[in-house]
Amino acid sequence: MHLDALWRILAGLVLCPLLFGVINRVKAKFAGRQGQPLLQTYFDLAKLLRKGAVYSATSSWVFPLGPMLGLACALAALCLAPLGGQPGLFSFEGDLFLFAGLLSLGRFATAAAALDTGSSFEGMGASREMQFAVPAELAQILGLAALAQATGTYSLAGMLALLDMAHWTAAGPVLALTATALFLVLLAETCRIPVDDPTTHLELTMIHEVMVLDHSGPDFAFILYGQGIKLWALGAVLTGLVIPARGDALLDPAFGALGIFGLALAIGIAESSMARLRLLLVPRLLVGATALSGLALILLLR
Amino acid sequence: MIFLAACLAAFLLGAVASLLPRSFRAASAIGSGMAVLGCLLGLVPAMQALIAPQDWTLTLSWPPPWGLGRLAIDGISGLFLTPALVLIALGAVYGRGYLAESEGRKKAGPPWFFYNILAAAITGVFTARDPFLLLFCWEAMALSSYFLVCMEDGDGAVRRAGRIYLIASHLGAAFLLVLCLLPGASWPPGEGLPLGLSPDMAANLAAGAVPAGAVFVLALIGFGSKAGLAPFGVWLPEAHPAAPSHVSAVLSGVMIKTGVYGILRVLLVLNPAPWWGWTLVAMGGATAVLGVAGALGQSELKRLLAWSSMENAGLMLMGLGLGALGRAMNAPLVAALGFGAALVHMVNHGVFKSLLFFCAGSVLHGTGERRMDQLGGVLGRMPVTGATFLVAALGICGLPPMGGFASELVLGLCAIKGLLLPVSGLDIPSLGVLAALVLCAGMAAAVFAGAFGTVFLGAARSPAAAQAHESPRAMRGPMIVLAVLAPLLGLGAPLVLEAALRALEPALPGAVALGAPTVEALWTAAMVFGLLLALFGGLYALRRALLRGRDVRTAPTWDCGYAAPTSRIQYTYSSFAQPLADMFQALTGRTGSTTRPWGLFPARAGYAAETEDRILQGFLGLFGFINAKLEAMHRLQQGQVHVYVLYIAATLVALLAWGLW
Repeated sequence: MHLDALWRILAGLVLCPLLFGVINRVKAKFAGRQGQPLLQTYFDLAKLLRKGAVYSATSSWVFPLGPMLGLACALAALCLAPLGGQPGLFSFEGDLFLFAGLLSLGRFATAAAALDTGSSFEGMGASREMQFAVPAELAQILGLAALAQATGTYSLAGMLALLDMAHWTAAGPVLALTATALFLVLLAETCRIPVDDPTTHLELTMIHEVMVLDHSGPDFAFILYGQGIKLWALGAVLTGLVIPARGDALLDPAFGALGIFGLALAIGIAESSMARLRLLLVPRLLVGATALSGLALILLLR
Repeated sequence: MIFLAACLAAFLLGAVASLLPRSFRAASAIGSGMAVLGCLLGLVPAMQALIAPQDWTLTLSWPPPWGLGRLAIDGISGLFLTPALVLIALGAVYGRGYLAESEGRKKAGPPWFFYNILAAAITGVFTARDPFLLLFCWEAMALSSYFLVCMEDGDGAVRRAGRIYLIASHLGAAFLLVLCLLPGASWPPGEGLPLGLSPDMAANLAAGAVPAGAVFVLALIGFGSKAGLAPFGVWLPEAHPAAPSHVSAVLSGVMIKTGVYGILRVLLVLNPAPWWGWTLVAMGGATAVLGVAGALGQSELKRLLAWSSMENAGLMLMGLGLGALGRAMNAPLVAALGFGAALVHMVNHGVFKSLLFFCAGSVLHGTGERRMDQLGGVLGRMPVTGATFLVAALGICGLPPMGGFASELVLGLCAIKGLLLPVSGLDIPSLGVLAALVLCAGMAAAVFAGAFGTVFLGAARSPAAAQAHESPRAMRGPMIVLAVLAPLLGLGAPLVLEAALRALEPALPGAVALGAPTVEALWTAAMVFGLLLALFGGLYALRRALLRGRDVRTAPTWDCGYAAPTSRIQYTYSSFAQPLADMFQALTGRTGSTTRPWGLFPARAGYAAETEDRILQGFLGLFGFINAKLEAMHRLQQGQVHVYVLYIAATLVALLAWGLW
């Protein structure tokens, strides 16, 4: 257990809603709009937490389980994610499987809650979410296995701490392939364009948003916050790969956090410059990501 | 050892005694009671062997034609026997409640007779130490389970499933027959020879004129067909759902493992060649992916569970394959973790799959409906069944904090470590195992989220589902026990792995030390599970505190303003799984039939999921072909005695001529 990780986790807890503010501000600038305040997500969370809730008459105790378990899983994943190569609260060999497993458990709970409403829209969203998760998870694990291969260690913190400039000069193209694959996985996992459009209002074309149509009040606050935490945790792993580690316990996490905001900038640019893919094309994109990380892994084999 | 003898005696006595009484209740009380008693007696030596290695043997003093009748429990036997006996005992308790509804319609004696015989046979398979006894127990297991599968013999589909099962299991047993009756055969192969001399084993076997590779192939097909290894496991998705649910639970939770056990024994005693590992990894991976892709296309809950059993058997065989490669390529780390992963998954899968079959039986009992797409909203009326199903579903998908995650972690770590070792020839199989494992985990999550959601959540799709009723206490009890065990297996996974490594230590010296970092990792993972539970508890308390005294209302589900929603507009399992099933259509064949909307005013459109089993169709075609070709032989079979006498005379003359030549 690395207790010094607590302040890095705290940074994630406090700063993650700001990421949405950055993404929205970038999109507004591209569209020539003023945009919502940077702190809008904080205001939304505060508003939702003060509200009551409306529950569907069809739903059972599984329904409120979704947001609670989803957020608990995202928080536990945050505790595993290294920031700037510095370990999370827990670090052990094979923690990449637990990292992916926690995200998967949260997804399962959200999908079950969606099916609990008996709504055909939410069933549709749950079906898509579970389908897209299959190639996304594969791409993620293979990509992380490629990092294990590149560094010779088995834990997330171990590999990200060792990925320094020397590794990038020696195996740059391979690491770039992995980073691309992990970026695509991040877009899918956090429901951004081109996989999913978080702002659309047409239920038929949504994935994640449609699954949470019936949640309200504190439950919806949990979901919103969980999304932010998930974006932060996945972003921390990706920036840990992209920004070479230098072994500095203070500067590295600071660069990591800055990198996550840079990532939010990149997401905003991606969202402004392209449209959401047709749903039938999304699996191809994710299978492509799997192919990229598989290729990276094969290139690293002796 | 006296306990093992008493355990077997209790099973056999229970089998006979349950036939005697006339009353239904007395017979089922005796049958299930003796089965539970036998399991409790057998658990004593099995658990002892788990904690510390024991070297007892029980030699039966009978004058047998081919062997002494030796039984023994070592660590491996103990590891397989402990979950098996627990599950058989719980199955007996559950079965008493499950069969109670057939009172007055059927007799209770025969099912309990065969159940106890099955229990004794499984115990025998796990402890037999000579080939003839193994074969005997194997056959007793196959026959008693056949009669249990065919219990609902009024149904033609059940009789067909039983026939497929009987034929498949005897084709598999034919290979074991050869394996066990080879000149100088012993079980486990080569036992009695000094274990350290593995490299010489091939030479020893060659002296008996049997190459080790042949022994492996015989064991792979013979045992693999029982484990559901594709393509020999075609019977599995037919037979398991046809059986009564407590028997399905034992078949899927325990009997599949006898196949894994057999292959493991062969791999531990003989000196594997690399191609053994390649074969196991390839066939195991194919079984796993085919199994879970098949599960996507099912419309009945029990059939879905049977396909998922194939998937999990595939995962265990991949673990065995990596273990064999590790042994063959002198990478003891991979060997220890590969075999260890297979053993840990064996324990976990037994618990989850038995629980899932118990739940499926409970749903069938409470609604009388097998098709998932006719159910829905059952959770409200069957709270215990629904909650326990959810626990088991999380476990079978390998999600934390259940035991299934631990086995996935160990197998995945084994693959990554194999990938990183500078041993050529180990990397590609490791990569294959890693990819297949993650693919299967993701697909299993989709399968079970869909199945749980369709059956238990939402609104009832049929009157049968709307009038569901919870099962009696005898059925709920075992389900609750297993549902409590599932997270405990997750938190205590390091102990299970340690027990597995200890059991492997005699065959793989140093296994415990090599696996120690992984055990340590599992302890840390258990701490994260604790953190997860604490976070969940905290959020639960926070949500309660926030909503207290606030305006909490109930309203209809958001329907986009559609005025007349019905429960029929819900997503069904078929529609839930269809996009993913279509991605694997190349593997599984046609997954359903679509009627597309057509014209300006489309009248009717539809989609019906029905997966054909290509392998089974292939086998049926093959057997049909053989049958047609053998028709010609009918001419020899005249049915007239004097023609047969002529055959004998002709044969004698021919032999005489050959001998005198």
